[in-house]
Amino acid sequence: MRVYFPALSLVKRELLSTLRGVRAFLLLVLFVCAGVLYAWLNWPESDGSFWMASMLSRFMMQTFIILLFGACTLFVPAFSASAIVVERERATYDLLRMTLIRPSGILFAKMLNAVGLFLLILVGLAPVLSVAFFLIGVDPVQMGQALAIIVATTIACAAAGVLSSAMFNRTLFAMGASYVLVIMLMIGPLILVYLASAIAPFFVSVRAVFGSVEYLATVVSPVVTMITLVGTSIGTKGLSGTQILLSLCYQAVFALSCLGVALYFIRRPQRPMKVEDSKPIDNRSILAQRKLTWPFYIIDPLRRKKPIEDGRNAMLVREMRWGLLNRGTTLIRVFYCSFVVYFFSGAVASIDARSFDTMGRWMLIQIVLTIIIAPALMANVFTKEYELRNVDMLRMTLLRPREMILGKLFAGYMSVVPLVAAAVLSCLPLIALGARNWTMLGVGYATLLICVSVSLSLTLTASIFTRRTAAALVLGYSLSVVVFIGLWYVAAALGASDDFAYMLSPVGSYVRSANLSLFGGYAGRGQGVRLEYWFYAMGMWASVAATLIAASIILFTRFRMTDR
Amino acid sequence: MAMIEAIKLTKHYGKFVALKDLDLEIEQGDIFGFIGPNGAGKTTTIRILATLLEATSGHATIDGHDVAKEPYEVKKILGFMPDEFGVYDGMRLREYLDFFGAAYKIPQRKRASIIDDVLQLTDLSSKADDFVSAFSRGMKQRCCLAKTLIHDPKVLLLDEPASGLDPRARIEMKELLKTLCSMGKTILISSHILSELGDMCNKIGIIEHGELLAAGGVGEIMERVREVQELRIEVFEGADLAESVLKDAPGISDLERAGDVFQMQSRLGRAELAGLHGRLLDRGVKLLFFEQDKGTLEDVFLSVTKGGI
Ligand SMILES: Nc1ncnc2c1ncn2[C@@H]1O[C@H](COP(=O)(O)OP(=O)(O)OP(=O)(O)O)[C@@H](O)[C@H]1O
Ligand SMILES: [Mg+2]
Repeated sequence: MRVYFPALSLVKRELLSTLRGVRAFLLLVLFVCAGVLYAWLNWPESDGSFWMASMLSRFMMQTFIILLFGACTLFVPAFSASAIVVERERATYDLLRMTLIRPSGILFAKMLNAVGLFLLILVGLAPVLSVAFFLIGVDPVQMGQALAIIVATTIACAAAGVLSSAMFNRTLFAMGASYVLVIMLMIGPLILVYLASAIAPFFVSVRAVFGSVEYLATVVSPVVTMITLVGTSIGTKGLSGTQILLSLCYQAVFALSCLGVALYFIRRPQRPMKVEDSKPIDNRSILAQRKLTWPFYIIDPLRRKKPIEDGRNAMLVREMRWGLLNRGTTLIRVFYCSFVVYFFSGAVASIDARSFDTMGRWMLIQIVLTIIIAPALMANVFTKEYELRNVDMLRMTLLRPREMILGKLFAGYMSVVPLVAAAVLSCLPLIALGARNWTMLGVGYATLLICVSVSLSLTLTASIFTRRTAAALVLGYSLSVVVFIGLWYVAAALGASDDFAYMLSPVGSYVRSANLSLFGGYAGRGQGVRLEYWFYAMGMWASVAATLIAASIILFTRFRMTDR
Repeated sequence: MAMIEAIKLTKHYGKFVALKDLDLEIEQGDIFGFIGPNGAGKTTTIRILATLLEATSGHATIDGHDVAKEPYEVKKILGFMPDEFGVYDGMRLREYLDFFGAAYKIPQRKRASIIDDVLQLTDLSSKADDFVSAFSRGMKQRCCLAKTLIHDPKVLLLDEPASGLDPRARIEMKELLKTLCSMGKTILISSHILSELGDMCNKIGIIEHGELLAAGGVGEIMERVREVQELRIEVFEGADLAESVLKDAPGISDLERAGDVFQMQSRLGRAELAGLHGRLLDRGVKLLFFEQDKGTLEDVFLSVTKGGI
């Protein structure tokens, strides 16, 4: 066999190295445990009415499926994006290319590996899922459809990741591109459809347009497909088989085109890493002139940089001057611009009422979005040093662990500044329209900052104790999920008092103190913000963040983390 | 007191024993050549000395500072050049050195001139404004050496510094190390290029499977290791006389004569050799040339190590 298909040996090596590690096993165990815990906590009581029980079991399955779907869109792009780029960074890619394995074989092996782990988790969860068949109110067909969509999305995400991995020379860029591609998969065509629908009524009847827009939306956006599929409550019709099929086709086309382009990149002779070879410029007038031709540089990359000043943290200065502002300006710029646009459009969209809740909910959206993005900006700060094999040399300098970690951390904060700024800006239209609850605003932004701190310190810890950016990202997100949702959820399910349960999550405490009604309803309208509760909760979370940082400094010093 | 001292250094990687009770003593001003086959434990030893790795047992000091207990003090006086290292993207050579200079807490006003000096020493002055990530391997090697020298360390630990250097750069590096040594620095250098170590180091240590097989002065070890050495004598006058002396001399065998030139196998130590030399002169032989082949480090290496990784 192997003689005819040399790619099989690569498949074997890939799968072995992934599955042999403790990590895969731990991840599997973690997911299965979370699944079991979830099922156990939510097991519908049978003494209630039949209707009640079926409602509950439906709700349970819905959450379960949505969580799985979320996990696959969050983790698979990161995991698969490192597939080829890591070989490049370790300089093993040339060796691989020199073997008789065809480019398609490399692609196949990498894909299989990227998809494999997640599918394994799915299989591991199968017993838990199959329990659902004994629950009343869960439609097996609908379950099957949901699972099919999850598998398709996993494959599409993996394809996007592998493509990004084939395109770039650095893990971070590959990961960024991977997430961008996945966002395109999720909402790209959807936006086009909505744009078209805005223009179309001029030509055809409004009714026809809206009908087809809804139909199209469920096809060209896996998120919408998923939400419509599992979100349909009893009584409304779900998705038709054709819609499911079309959605699967859409994802298949996406995956295949990604793989096609990836194949092109693998076949193509490797491009050397692009290195700027121009000399630095000292002349001010030339610099001023360049400013006119390059108006978009934050800092002209060719301007000569000052030496690092005395008494400053060299690590921080390096991260700022050479890391953040120098390279990747382009990528970061694109990223932030889209964010500003996104926040603005979100703000405009949410101006339906000038009520207290609108403001609070809008702040909540900002908080959630920011803590979803923050780990991605932070995850590689230390793994980058491992990947570039710089850790040994850094540790030999007189920089103290404290300086290194705080330098990295502040650089991380600085990279989040544009995000927070975008958030602040996006509130301006709302304020202009009359939503002027200053307490709410102040509390909201303070919460945002504390949530970002918690999220950044979690990711920093993850980045210190893992060697690969992909692993750091996954660990960072997992920790975030535990801290921001997990504890809160478990406590609530175990029947803790609301005040206590909500306090176990920084976001939860905000929701509780602002008396926000999450799902419509009018929970605390007009009651104002419970400032005392908020101070307690935020004080606690701020100290959690500080403790985490202190702990990682101690651990970084204690365990001699080195290049090997 | 020894500048670098290791006592019963042991390192286990899981069950694998990478270092076994290694004792090492290097005086100030020594250039100590550390040789051994692949996987012998050289890098492991150097990394323990550099405070980067924790020994399983035993301890080591650099200039009296324990590497495990006072790593900060050790780092101040230690320049370490790893065998494998990376460089930052998007940094120019001068900026790169400036960063490490700042990381070694060198005041800014001194840094520029120090950087100029190390660039000169490593012959990289013309590359100061180029990006490090575009350097060739040898240039990266020099750049790392420049980084290693930036805080003027008393002790240098160099792990295969010459790999990737071109012949001229190697010779220059050798000269550089000798200069540094004459400035009173202590150097531990691991290398596989033995011919180079031979005429640069005054001491060597041979390690295999984590055990130090031999250590000491170069000549001393050579003598100890090689029992039979080639002795070559050329006489100007009195060849027959010389032949009779040599034939009777103890410890000499396989005498061959080609006109005025004698070649033989000798088992003589340094003192006995001097005795033989004196005897020849006493008998009125006029000597042109009297040399016992010292052998090369390669020979020593091959006879001490067993091979097999
Ligand atoms: N992190 C590690 N985990 C397990 N074993 C290791 C580790 N690092 C080194 N070893 C083992 O320790 C032994 C010594 O390695 P070391 O790198 O010190 O050798 P070396 O003398 O520097 O070899 P070379 O000449 O090839 O550089 C080797 O057998 C190696 O396999
Ligand atoms: Mg080595």
